[in-house]
Amino acid sequence: MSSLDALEECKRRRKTDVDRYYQTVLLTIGLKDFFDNGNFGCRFVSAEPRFKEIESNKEIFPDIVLQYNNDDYGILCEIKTSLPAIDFFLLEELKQLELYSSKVVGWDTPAKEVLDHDLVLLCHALDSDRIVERIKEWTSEGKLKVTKNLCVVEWSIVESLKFDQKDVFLIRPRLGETRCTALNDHLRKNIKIDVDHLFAKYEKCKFVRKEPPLEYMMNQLWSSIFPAMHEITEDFACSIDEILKTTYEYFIPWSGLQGEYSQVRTRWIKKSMKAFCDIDVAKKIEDRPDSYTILYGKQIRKDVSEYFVEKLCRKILRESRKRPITEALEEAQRRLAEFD
Amino acid sequence: MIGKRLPATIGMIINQYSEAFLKRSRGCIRIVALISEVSFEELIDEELPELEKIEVRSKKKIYAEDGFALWNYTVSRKVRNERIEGSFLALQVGSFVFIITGHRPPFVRKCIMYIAKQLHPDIMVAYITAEEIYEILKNFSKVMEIELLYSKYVAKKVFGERDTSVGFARAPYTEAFRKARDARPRLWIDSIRGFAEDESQTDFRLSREGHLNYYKGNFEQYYEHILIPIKEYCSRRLKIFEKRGRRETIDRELRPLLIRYDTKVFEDPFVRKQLVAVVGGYNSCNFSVIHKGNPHVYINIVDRMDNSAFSLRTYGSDSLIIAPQVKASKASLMRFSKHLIDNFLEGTISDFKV
Repeated sequence: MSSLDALEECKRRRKTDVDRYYQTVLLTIGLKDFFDNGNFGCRFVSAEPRFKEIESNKEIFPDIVLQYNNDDYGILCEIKTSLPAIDFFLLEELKQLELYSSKVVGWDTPAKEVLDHDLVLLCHALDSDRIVERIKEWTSEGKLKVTKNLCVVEWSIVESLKFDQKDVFLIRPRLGETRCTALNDHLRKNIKIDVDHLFAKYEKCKFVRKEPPLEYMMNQLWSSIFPAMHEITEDFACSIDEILKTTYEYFIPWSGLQGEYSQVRTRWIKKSMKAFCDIDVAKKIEDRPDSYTILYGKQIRKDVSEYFVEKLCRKILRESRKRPITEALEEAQRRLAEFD
Repeated sequence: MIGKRLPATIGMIINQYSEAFLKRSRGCIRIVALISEVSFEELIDEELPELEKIEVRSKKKIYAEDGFALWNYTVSRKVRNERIEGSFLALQVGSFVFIITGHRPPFVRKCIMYIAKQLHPDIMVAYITAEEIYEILKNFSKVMEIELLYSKYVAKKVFGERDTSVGFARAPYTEAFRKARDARPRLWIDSIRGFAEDESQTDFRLSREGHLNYYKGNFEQYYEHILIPIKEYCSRRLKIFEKRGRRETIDRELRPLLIRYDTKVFEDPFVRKQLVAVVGGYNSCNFSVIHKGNPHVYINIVDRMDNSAFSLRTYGSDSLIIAPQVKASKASLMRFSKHLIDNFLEGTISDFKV
């Protein structure tokens, strides 16, 4: 692959990641609305609450939690923005379902428990064929041990005359079922969620718990948060705390079972600030901890999403060229050995 | 101030100023409608000296009573090796300023519009829609009791592509609008030159830019029946753009705007893609394309003139939503909506109830 092709491929992938993250946030909002407004015996409990797996005492954060049958039973839903192309990493990602298969607490019941629960894995339609195939293969080979009912569901945004030319999320079952017959019935008929009506909520809820792609976070800071922090288009100094406070003010928290929590994490902001420094649109202030000068007066390309992606891809490719080939090979061999 | 009659002294002075220009061959009076919520005089006094290459050569206050103020300015600007100089009258009525000059288009473009652009957001450039031009002409024809004909018009199609009428017509102005409406693809009148059937005292050109040129007639008739309606239409629009930023709302609520088009324009994937190009052509902005036309388009925009920020999203197949972010000034929303009319399509703007 020529360096130009590599750059284009890198840009394409990173742009897809940004888009997929955006769609995932919309989907989470849409599903919340769907379950909130529907009356079919399966109620939406929370988006991204903190649960605990009893055996290992590990914290888990399912994307959506549903309860049914008078709260005796529950469903943990996991939404996958994009899944790794390499099987080794895909299996690692799906191992999360093993953790969800154990007894978990955190449900919206007095004892924080339910009698039993099922799992729903939502993945993008472009990933679904491969996911279904691999899950079947790995569960039969014992590489993936999912002991609960698992239902794999695909989602995509489509525009169709059938739906009055509207953009809709089309959610369809691909593998397995839950024990909630009402949900199964809805899935069989395909769940349709009007995307247009989600925009107002999206403006206030732009993140899910999963860390956003770097460029997505950078875009949000550049286009929504920095303009809120400084009246005019010129360089200004700010700290991570100040940025965080502004995000708290304008991106409302998701309501979780354990109280409200913020959408944006300090860690994400720190990463973005480092990336801004790497591409020369911010400078670290040496004598002030966690403080930066944002070079907001700097004339950069109008299309900042394209600018950020291109600069970061160039940096990644430059660094990968510097890395000794033997080191990369060794790492690949080690990981493949682990997989086998 | 709407509806308040123009003092006779002001009318007389402007007519005197105009006379010499109108006598010239192809002479005309050009009027540009601007919006300035602070005193235009103060703005010019305070801000203009800070601008490079433009200076006020002379300034004279002519009238300042009853909410009307009239000044005469002479300004000069160096553009490359050329010096452009000219005079204009500035008539401030409430928050509107009508700049009146008899000088040629380069003076309007390179001096007057340059000042307006440099003083944004304190000064906003007014605009009207094709539908509003139609209403103004209808009313003008009625109250002046004249048969209003058109000689030429410029219409625009989607993406601001121009379509100029060929030749010199002599037909009712309504015919021009009918032609534009019936054209496929549909056109929007961008400017039209109208005159009275008896070719007496009415001959003018009115554009969506809010520019009025008149070749015959007196200032009062145009002020009463064209400039005041422009002011009213723009005031209504400004009211829609007021207090949209989330910092200005209780609980940081969102106050989006809906722009509805009269065709299902976004059914065509090409149009959705081109919308991104239209945003790319917006001066002094940064934008991030988050979702590009599959099927909807979602773009974050920062207006670098005053750091206003908003999201733009296609909504259904016939509408756009502008979702203002933390800060979104009315000057910025006015500028952006004008950009969409000039370079995309004319639609109806309204409040969107969340």
